Amino acid sequence: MPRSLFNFDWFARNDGAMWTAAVLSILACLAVLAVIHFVPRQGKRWMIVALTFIAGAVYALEYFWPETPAGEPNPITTGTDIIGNVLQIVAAFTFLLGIYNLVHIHFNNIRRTRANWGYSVVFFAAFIGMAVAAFWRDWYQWFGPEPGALTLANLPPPFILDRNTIDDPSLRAQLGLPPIPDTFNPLYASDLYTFLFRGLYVNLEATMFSILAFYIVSAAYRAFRIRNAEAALMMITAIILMAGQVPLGMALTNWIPQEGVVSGLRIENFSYWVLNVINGSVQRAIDFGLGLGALAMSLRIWLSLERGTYFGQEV
Amino acid sequence: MALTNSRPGMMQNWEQFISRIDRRYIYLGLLVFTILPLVAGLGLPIYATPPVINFHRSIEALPQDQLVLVSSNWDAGTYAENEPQTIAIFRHLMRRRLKFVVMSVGSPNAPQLTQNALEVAILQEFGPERPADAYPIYGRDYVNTGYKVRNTPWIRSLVRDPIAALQADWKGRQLRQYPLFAGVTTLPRSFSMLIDITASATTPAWIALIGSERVDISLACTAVMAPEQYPYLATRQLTGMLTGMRGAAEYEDLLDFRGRASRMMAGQSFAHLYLFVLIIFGNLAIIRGWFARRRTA
Repeated sequence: MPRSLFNFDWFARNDGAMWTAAVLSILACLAVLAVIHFVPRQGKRWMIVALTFIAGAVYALEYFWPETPAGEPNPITTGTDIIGNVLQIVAAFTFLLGIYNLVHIHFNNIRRTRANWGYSVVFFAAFIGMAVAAFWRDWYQWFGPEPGALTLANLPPPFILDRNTIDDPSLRAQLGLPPIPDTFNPLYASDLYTFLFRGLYVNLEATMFSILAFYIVSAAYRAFRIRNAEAALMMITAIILMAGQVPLGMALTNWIPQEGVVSGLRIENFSYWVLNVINGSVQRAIDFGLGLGALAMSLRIWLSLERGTYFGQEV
Repeated sequence: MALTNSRPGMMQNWEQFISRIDRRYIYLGLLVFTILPLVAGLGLPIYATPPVINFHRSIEALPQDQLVLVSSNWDAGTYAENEPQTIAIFRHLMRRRLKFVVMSVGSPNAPQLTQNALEVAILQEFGPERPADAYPIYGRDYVNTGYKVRNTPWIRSLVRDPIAALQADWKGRQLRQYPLFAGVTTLPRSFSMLIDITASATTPAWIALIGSERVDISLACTAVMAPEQYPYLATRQLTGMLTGMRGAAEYEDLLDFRGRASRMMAGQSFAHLYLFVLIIFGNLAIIRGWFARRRTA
């Protein structure tokens, strides 16, 4: 099994250069933050205006700057790849921020025994249980010995890692594991992670979403009233589309030939026509409107003309 | 449990009556109408629609060993719709002996859910007695590259240099060590097709960034998303589309197997029928009023 990107040996192989670069980057970021902190409010505003303009200008220039005659990308294009990776890292911090926020809120709920604080205990149980099950299972891949030196003693206990989920034949031979039984299904592996993820999480989440169906039925039944011509048209369209979505509806017109001019009268074909032609043209008009709106909004943000919360006003 | 929440004397007309029916009866009805056809094992005929046929044709048209990028962006909330789609698509890719890279930009849970769907697809397609060194082999025929946060600059990087943008697979293993990535340069040059299996608005970014690069894009989305995608179908920026569970059922029919979506369509059919009956029921007073006015006239 290959080594992981996250293994600390990877940094060691770079003679500590990576560590040095990482520490220097963090120090540089802290220094920049400190400078920003002491800049007056008006100065901060101009910094934001300048950075926003430069960031937008990079992409505008990159788009309009032609490729080289040999078809190679222009110099800015190569530079923008770094921005993509930087944004991945920034996004990773937002995950940490989310976790911190959840822990902070639920910890305070328990500490102050607020109403329904029991749910916060459930949150911690679920959060810690899932994190332990997932990290412990894969721990040996990140921080264990080299794959060639891996032994059974380096693996987590069987209730955390079902041995049958190790599907690399050479690794199984090295660890002295028997062949995977034909009856084994990795979806039903006997380990804590599979139990929590597939057995609990997937079903709970799917159940939450399926509850929508009940609300939709109840709402449609009470609200769908044909009080005027427009409402009648909408209801007829809805019924045609509903019938065209399901085999039972399609069965109503399956006596119409599938080929030829009359095939358009089959409910699934008529439903497709409504979606593709009538709905499609309306959607296109909406998309044009959205596109123009997005363009105008982008220009306003890029040129710092936008006003309001997050754009000049104190939050 | 009383049928309505009102006292008998307060029921002034039909509309009041139906608006006061306890909603739990309506929920119970939906539950019965959904479950009974599934328990009875009703099999209903399914007819493939043009977007599904075109999706199927676009994979059929690919020569063997071509590389396909599967962008799988769904979570357990849309499991009923996206999981059968994913299984059917993987089965088709494997039948055609195509190589594929799986990635997710929609949900951090998507890599695990997609891996589960892939394992089901392998099991269904090849059976439990498939030799360990037979197609598909991880790293040679397919790789799951895990989750990346969706942002346009990063997708642009992915288009220019997929290996540099993705770097590692979902277990943190470097992509360069896998034979699948040998010779991969840019996304348009190395990949013949992109399949977006999604429950969120990921498609416009793909169309904007690689739609003009001669890479076919096909979409498998939830039913609620489908109406927004039809303009892309009309302009052939999307070569095909699977709409919700019904799209998956149609695809299963084209692939000549009866999977979860085909079986579940009976429940969905009767749930729609129930809704249809309820809407008629809710409008009975208005319909009766029409007839009364006609008689008076």
